[in-house]
Amino acid sequence: MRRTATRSAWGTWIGFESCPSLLGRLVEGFSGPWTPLEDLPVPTPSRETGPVPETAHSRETGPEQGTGPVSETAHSRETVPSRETAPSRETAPSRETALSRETRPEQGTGPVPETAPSQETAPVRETGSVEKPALSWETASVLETSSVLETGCVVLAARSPADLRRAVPLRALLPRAPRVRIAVADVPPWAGRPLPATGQASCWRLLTGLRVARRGRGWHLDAAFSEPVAAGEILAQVAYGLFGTAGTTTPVAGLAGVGAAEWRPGDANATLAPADGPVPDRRDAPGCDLPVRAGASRVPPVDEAVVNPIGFRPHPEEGVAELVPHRDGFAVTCGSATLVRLPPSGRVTDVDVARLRDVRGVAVPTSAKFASDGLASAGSASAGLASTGLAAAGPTSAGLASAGSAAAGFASAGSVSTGLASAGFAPVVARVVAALAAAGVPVLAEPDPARDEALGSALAAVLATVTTEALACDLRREEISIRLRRTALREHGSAACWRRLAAEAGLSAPPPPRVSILLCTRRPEMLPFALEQMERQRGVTAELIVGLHGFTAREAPLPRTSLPVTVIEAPGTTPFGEVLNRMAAAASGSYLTKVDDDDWYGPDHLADLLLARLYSGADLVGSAAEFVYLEQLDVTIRRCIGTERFAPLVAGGTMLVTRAAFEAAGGFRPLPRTVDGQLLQAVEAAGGRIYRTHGFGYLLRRRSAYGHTWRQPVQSFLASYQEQWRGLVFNGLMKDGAPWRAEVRT
Amino acid sequence: MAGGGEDVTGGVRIPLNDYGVLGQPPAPGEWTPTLTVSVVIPAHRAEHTLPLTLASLARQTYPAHLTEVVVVDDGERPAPVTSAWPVPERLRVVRPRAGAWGRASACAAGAEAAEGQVILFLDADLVLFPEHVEAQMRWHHLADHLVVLGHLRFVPGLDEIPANEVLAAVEAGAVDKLFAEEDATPQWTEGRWDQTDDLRAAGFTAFSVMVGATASLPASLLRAAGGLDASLVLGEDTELGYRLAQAGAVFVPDRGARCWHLGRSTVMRREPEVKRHNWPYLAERVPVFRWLRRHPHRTYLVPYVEVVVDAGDASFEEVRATVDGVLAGRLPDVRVTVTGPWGRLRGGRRDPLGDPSLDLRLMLACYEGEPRVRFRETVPDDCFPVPFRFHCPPGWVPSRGTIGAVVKHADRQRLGIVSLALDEREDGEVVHARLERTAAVTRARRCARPGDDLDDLIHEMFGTVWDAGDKWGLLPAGSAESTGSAGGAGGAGGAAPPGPGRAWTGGSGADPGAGSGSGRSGSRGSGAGRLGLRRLRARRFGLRRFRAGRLGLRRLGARRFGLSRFGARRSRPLRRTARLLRRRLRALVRKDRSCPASV
Repeated sequence: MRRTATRSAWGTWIGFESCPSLLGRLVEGFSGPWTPLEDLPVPTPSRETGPVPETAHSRETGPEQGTGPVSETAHSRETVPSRETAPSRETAPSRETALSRETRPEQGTGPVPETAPSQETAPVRETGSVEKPALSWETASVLETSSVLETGCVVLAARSPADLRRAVPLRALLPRAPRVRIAVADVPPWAGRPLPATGQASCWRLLTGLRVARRGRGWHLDAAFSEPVAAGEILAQVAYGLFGTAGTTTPVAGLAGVGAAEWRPGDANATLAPADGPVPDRRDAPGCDLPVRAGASRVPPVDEAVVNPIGFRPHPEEGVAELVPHRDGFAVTCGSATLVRLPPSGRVTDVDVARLRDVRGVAVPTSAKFASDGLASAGSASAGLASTGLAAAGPTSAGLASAGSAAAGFASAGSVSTGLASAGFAPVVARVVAALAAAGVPVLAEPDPARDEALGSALAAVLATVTTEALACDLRREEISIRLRRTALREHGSAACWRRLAAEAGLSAPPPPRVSILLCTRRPEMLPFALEQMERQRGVTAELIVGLHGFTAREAPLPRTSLPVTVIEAPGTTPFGEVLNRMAAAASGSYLTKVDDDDWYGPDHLADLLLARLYSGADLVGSAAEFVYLEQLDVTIRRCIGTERFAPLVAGGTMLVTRAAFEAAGGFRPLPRTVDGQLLQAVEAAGGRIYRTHGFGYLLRRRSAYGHTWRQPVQSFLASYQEQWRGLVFNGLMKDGAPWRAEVRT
Repeated sequence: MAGGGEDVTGGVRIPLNDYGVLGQPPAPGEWTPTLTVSVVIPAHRAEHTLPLTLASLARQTYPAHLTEVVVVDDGERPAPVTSAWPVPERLRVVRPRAGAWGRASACAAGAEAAEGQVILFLDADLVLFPEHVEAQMRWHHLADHLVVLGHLRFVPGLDEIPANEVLAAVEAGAVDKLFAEEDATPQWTEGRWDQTDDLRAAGFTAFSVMVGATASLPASLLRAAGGLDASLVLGEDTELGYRLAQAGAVFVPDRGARCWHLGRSTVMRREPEVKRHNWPYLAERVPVFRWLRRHPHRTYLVPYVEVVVDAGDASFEEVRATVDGVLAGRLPDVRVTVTGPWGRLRGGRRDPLGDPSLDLRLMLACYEGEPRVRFRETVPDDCFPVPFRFHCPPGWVPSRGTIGAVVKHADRQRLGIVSLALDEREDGEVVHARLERTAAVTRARRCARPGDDLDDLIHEMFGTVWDAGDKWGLLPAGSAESTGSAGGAGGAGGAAPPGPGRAWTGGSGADPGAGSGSGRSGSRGSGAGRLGLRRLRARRFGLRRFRAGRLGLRRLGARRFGLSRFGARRSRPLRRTARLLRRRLRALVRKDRSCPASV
């Protein structure tokens, strides 16, 4: 399903403006005007409300700046309601009342403290964008009121779920309306459905109708309410439903300036601030812990909820694609086909990643080469290119139109900061590379000091190891992909990025979540081996709960280990599941993971599981038992198991479950066998999601069927394998790190 | 005869025919030869050209004290080599045994008389370049299981160019100036050299370019391969090449060992007739020339696969099920060897039904008239010259296509051993069938040093693989049993296996009835269910990875054929259906591959 070149592949406002038919297809019958969401200026908290005069004022200023839009909206107002006349007209009378009663709930317009000590400690983080925006107080206040005012219908169009997430922090800018329509043009195959996760929001009590329909490759959600509701709230909850996790991160962020939303995608808890104004306060609390001002010198983090390895293909069918300049942005081409076009900001969305899944890798030239190839507007990276368009059909759209023109001025000001010729490319190219790497798309990059500096030394070091020959081999390609995604997500993922920002600002970050490793064994002789496997784990905070099933610590003393250890003893007659439950009760971590005593674990096994949990948002993550050592045959096989996807089954020795999900599932069943499968079933039954990540950190040891709790005949392992090695063979990721004892004789 | 070079050459492990691991051989004149060579020249009606060959042999760079020349006078009457022209220092003329004639027996006689560690067969109408022998010999100092082939060009015969002129060139050391290389006609084998990177990539088929005009090999290797087959008149070099390959030889063409062949060869002059003559002989003796063995039922002198069934303490029914399964396969040229303690059976008076060795007796009795089944106490380490040996545990029945498919798989993947896991015993041992490639086993044994594991060596040089038996249609006799007992025997005892023979020859005729019908339909139903599952799996994995997909499809084919055994009469249309189905599925896979998978 290749996209034709005629369709604008990147969903910026250019795409929308120049291709109104796309929007027309998304939301039939509506003919604009479309306003890029990011162009809406953020209201300043400086004024007390006084709505009526301001509104009047806006009605005066509006037409003089954008007479065209007014007439257009008037037109559209006639066309749109043809379908939804009933709700909008019915709600029209209630508008005023709603307005009068409304006290601007989340638009913290309280007193303006020159607040936030953090604002001083962590001032303008982004160099270069300190310029004064061409945004007058009047317009801002107009907007403020306009955002409070309702319209007949709010239509939010996004190209991809990633763009929808980017709109979430800007939700306060959306007006109230009795009807909210959200259209997503394209979703990756693995994405969820845009079903709102209703949560506690009161707006759903007013719901009169909800329709979610598939439109081409995208989705269209249409919600009608008996009274106007905050469209931003609906947006946030749809985004939540799409990705399964609210994904709020600490610290609470204040976002200022155009493009700041990219720093906190999907975060409904962020506070918006005008580009130079103070961060508005919340009720009884400062508005944020850490303000961030958008700029170009520092690339925004990778949104791991959308740009992630989900959907990775281990056996791609196409060759190595290439990143090339295209107009003022980038394109990824494979042969003559253009797979993906990227905006000048270098933003990569989940839809782009989905389209790159079939390529073996992406070759990235040096950023100097981009400069010499001559992108016309060099590095206009921070130009306010928004892929979310906001359309308001209603009486206040005049205000919106005027806001749009103001934002245009802002965008041009923004480009001043980044107009530094070729040096300006390094951060943008670095952003593309980091996103591709985080998505597990192998990147074949020529060395480039400027870009590598922006990427950070760790990711640059991994990039330097990628070669064409290595990419030609599927196994090595996947190893490379895992190394890249691991490093990129840890360095450039938004969670890691905010942790770092907080640390720089001197904020105390919450400690990283602790993983409790449940290791239960019946075989004392396996203890040293199993402990060694766990001691190799790096990049996690872990504790070890050792269950001695059928023997005591006196009979088999535990080897010394650097991990904190809790020992649970149980008689051999206790069912296996019950022992595990007792161990889980003794665990203190926020994650529980069960490991087997005779399997091999790579040094990053637990860290990778945590990472998978982060980007998938699943309640239970696990690896595939992809690599199996058949001890009787002395053969290592790689089985055909689909990985990096939501799937109901994961290897029992790799399950990592949140404590909440574990308790919701009722823990392990008190059975002697198959407790793993039962837990998976229970988690699924409790509404949890299960994610299966790659199997490169785990090597299952398959012994004689009669010596193990798990009896699957040996020939069934051989029924579908994709590769086979003689002897005990570890992949490159298992061997990473310090040399260790692979063989154990028992 | 085992020379001093053995410690150097013994352990070299050459994968397949890729002798590149030996590195570049030393350039002529830059090394010290140690091996002795016997040049064997069968001479028949060669009185004009032989003196030239001998003269060029007298001019070799290879040390004369390491060289001997054995001319086998294959004429009807002894014709003493009397020549005023130069001859090699150590020259002997021998006659083949009385009554023996032809190139093969002449070569055999020459090899018998030869004393060198290496034997170089030469035609009597060659004019060698001075470094011809040295170029070939340098390889034999690198490894002890190489067959080196010289580089030959056909030039006009003595009817066009005077012998004196040739001699003068030989004397002057200007053989290369005698003819222009590009004017000379290359041998047909040279095209194959070109295609296969001088046979490095030729794999198992390298032997087929073995031509006896100029080829050298260690005498020990020749002995191990059983020498030349004197019963052949023509094509004996190809047949020898086949046996050498089965003995583990590696074939090395050397473009530096040049020579002129005076006049055209018989093959060039009368190719169709030569082929017509050779093919019946080769069909009998070279089983890997599958195109010569198209007949669906007959057997040949050298079978393609030897199936070894170890009777052990298995029951008669189990052994019979396995052997019958093999014999019913679509690969006709198999030989079944049942191993067991046959010597224990005595002819004395016994209790006919209570005999403790009854099962063994029944096995013997069951195949008295079947020439493809033989009974042995033990089997040797390899089944040379049969190219494959398949160990099948009794009680496991290969489907009609199983053995052929496994062999084909081994050829395609260039494997030395294919092991099929079947079941797991309680002691942890895995019951498995095993296909061995004779060439791999013999070469591994040749390379093995004390303490080496043969399987490790085979894996290193050829590759070994484990697979699942049921994937290849190797199923327990019990599964056939259930259908059979449901059919005819009925209450004859659930434990007693059915007559597999009956099942094979068409259950419909032997035991008609509702039971049989239901049994058959039941099993077919389950088979279809599995088939659907397989197909699904093939779709899921196979489309992404072609190999897996092919496997899946083949599995599917095997499965279909496995089903077809329920009635020989019905098997034909079913087989055709299966073929069509397979073809269509393959086309589907191809189509799916050609267009990018949808996101």
